[in-house]
Amino acid sequence: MTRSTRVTNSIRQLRAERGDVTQAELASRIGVTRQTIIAIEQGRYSPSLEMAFQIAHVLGVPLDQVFQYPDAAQH
Amino acid sequence: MNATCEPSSPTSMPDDAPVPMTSEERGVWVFLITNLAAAIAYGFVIVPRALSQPIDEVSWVTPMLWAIGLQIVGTIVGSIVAAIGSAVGQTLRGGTIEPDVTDERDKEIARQGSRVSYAVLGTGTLAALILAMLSADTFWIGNTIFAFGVVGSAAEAIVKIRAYRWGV
Repeated sequence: MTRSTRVTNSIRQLRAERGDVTQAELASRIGVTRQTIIAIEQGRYSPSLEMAFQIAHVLGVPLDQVFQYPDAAQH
Repeated sequence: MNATCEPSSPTSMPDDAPVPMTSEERGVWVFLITNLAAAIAYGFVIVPRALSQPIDEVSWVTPMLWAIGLQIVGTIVGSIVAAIGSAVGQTLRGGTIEPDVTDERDKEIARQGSRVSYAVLGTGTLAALILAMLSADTFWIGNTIFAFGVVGSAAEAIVKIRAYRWGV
């Protein structure tokens, strides 16, 4: 059973839009393993705020375009 | 020169490339297997002795030192062998070796594992203290600490593997 985080993200979609950013390249640019990027994309790990900003920076979009917290909109 | 023989850069690795264990997760598996193997070997030596002679006559110190030594040396040697095996396997499969990085996810998983092992080891220490207060034989005190150490290590490794596989 996978333990999913409530934080969702659009990393895979944003990488696809940019075309040339692989999981391995994103991992290399922020200094983590490819396995960590995969875990984040699959919702099995919530990155620290610092890593979240680094991912957004590499993808060239604001933080809230990369990560979403669905419950926040409901309250 | 045949360009396909050149190892590709890790950053050019496609998303659908096989995902090997990180070096940290590999180390956890080696730690778990080595610790359990050494503890089981110790049990095979000590339990027959404990069943066949009075407890205060059982020679347990030397076997336990061997078991602890095997756990330490086995983990070091096993990690090196596993790292070499992983590198060879990755090279044979795709020609690219994943960079050996320890990141914040590894550290968070290590913290989760440590919390569990500290709880088990603390309980074991308390149990050994109670046995000492009751003037139990050193066999029981030493083996209680050892047993809780093995259980704590195994629990730590299982919590880490669970986090690596199914999420933090």
